[in-house]
Amino acid sequence: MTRYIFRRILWLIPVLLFVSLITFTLMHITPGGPWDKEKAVAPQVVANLNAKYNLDKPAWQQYLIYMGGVIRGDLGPSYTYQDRSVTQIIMGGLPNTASLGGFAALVAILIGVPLGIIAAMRQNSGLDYTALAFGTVFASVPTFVLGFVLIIVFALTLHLVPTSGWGKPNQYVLPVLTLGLNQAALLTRITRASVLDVSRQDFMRTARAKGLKEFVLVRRHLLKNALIPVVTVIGPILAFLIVGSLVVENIFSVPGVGRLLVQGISQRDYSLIMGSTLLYAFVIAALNLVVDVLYAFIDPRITYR
Amino acid sequence: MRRLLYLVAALALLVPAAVQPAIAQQQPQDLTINALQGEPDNIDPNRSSFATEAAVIRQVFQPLLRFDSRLTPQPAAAASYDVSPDGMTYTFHLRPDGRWSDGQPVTAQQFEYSWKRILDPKIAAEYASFFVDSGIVGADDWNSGKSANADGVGIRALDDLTLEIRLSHPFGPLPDLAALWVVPPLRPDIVEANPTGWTQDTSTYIGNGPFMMTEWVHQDHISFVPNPQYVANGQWPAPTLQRVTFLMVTSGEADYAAFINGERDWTLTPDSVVNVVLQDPVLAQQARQYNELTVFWVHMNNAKQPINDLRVRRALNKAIDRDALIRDIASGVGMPATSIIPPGMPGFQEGLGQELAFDPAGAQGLLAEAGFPGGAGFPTLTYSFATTSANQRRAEFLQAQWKQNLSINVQLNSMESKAYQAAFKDKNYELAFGGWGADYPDPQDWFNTLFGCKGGNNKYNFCNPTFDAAVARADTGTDLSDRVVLYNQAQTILITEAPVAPLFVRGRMVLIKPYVQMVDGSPLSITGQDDYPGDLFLDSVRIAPH
Repeated sequence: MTRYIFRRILWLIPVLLFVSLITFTLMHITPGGPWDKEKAVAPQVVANLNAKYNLDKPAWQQYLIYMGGVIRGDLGPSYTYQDRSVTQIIMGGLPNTASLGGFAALVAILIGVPLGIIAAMRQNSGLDYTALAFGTVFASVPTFVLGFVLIIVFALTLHLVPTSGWGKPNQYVLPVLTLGLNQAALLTRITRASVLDVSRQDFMRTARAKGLKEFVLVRRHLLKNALIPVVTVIGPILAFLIVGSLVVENIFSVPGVGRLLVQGISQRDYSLIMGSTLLYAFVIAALNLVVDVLYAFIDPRITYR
Repeated sequence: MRRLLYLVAALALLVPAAVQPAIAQQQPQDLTINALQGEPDNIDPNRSSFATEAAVIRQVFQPLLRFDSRLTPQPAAAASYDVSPDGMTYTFHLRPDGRWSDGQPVTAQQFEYSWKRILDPKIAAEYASFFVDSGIVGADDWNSGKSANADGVGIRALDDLTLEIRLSHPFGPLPDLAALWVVPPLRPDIVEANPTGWTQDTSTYIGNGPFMMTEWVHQDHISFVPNPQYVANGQWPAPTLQRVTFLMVTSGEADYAAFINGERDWTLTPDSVVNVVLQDPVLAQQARQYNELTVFWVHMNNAKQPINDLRVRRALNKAIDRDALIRDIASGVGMPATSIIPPGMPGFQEGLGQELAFDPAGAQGLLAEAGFPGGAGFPTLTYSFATTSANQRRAEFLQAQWKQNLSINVQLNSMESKAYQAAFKDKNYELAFGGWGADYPDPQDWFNTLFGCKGGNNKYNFCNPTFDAAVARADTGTDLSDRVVLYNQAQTILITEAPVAPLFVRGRMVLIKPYVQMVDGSPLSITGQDDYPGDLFLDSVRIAPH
């Protein structure tokens, strides 16, 4: 197992290299550069700026300079936020995005999984239909619609929480709910389907016939088997929550990294684009590894060599 | 100059203790504004260029001069200045009581350092080009790298309180440049000790202005408190506000929601809710509209067939109902424009451009004269613009107007922002949407660069020697009224030749609670003039008892 994990970690390096190469190429062949503005910047100023940021060198040299920096932990200077390095910008926003994503993940798991299990155990009851409705509605409603509706209901009408901001506990409620309910709905449906599937199996019928109580049944026999598809999905869900919170961060003014990539692209801030993409690639790869390792613990039939 | 959505209105919150001592003491002089609409890129004065960066810099620093609400440069760090009779030497006399927030005196050497630094090619300052174009001796050589150092630049501290600036030709708008936020005094000891990091630390980001920065939480907010070493000077009082917070909310709708919920005292109304606000009795009372020093127009590539025909350009102009554009697309915010210079700028002429005003019959006549009666045979032109929802609505409006009034087809080409800017820069368009905003309140900023034969922003393939001659004389004149006469001649040529189709002056609507007032108790008056220089005049603002 440890050898497997070690090998997977080593694999990260070529993956990130490949991602960086593709991103770099795409960035530089896209029309428009960082100094193209509606008001033309004087040619002398453009020349000075290009010299300062190495943009006057050939592309392959720029790539090598950049990767040389990355190896030393320096993700380059931002063209948009001059005076701050991309590393500083990402490290500044990452804790906020991570905590937003972390809480949203908790909400998603703590609501979605139990709801799915109960719905499946009480199939075709009122509770089941409610859970299905929840699953369908909240999976379909776009995040920004949900966000504004929650603001209107809970902030503007009921005055229970503030409309935006980050830092105080009551400011966490709406953004976490907006991000988390969407994923909770997804988890409900997957968990329900998976539990329904497992509970029809023969070993479950035997266990029921033996007279085991529902609760013990679920805990000892059902859960581990039903959770495998759920765990498969949780990896990408976590990755999305941690790095894909752009819309929520925008609506609720959460100072995170969600908007960095989009902003970087529209400003052609090459360092910021590369840094954000590498961050996403790393987080997704790492979470996939975590999920794969979790499999081994849940399902003893799975071993890694 | 590049403008973000944010328009800084003059909020006057001051509670003069002399007037109502008992009540005043209970009222916290605390103001929170979404002044920044996002993280400021760069608050190093020499290297900044956005209005939001200016808002931060103006609280912390005070340049030689400062624009008042009429956009006239007034004494600030300099108590007075003299101009030599030939208009080529300016001598600024600093007031002796200027102080940095750490107690050091403000000296002319610090201004010399700052003015030379903005021209330093290694700094790559975007606003350097304005200072080069102003004709400061040696500026071009230094900024283009021909000189190895700044010793030949005509900016000199004659003594601790006297700064001399020498030009190679007269330049009327020099006081405007001296009032820009990009050249306040800078401390060489602080900046050189940490060239890239000095702006990031509140202990080194210090200035000689009315406020000082106490914290910068990235992507979230910047806080200020009054500068204890700042003294009231000229017409600029010491601040009454005790704490100012600039937020960085990126969603205009979210800030508006916060205002409605009582979490803010001031907000910019997003386009989408202007109608809602106007129909609400309470909100309508709190709304103030004003126009910016920004004009938008249809760019026309004068080299493309058939746009190269003057009659076609005039026809395109006369086929646009600008009043309907403001009324329907902008909900009444802003005003129609048939000329280039916006109201509030010297050089604005009321009623100029009637030949380009809405006249469908006249437009059709011109089109027929040009060889396309009833639109027959007219090629399908492409109208390019950067993708935003507002631009999309305007594009569809124009397409419909030209179809309806001229029977011609125009194809819309919505492009990603940078791709559009790159294409426009390379003159790769037929019709496009854009405009110009004042960098400083002088028409010199508008004519040569946009419409001059060698103008850096002339993407129209427009070249008229008579126009260039009038503008060249106006740019180097010394007396503003003489210069305005020459600029008027130049504007008249632009109306006659119609290289572009002016559309509208951009307007804004802000919502302000009534207890946010000027020092003297008068209600906040917000004009485009307050917006332009990025100055909030927060030192003249108070929060009245409520």
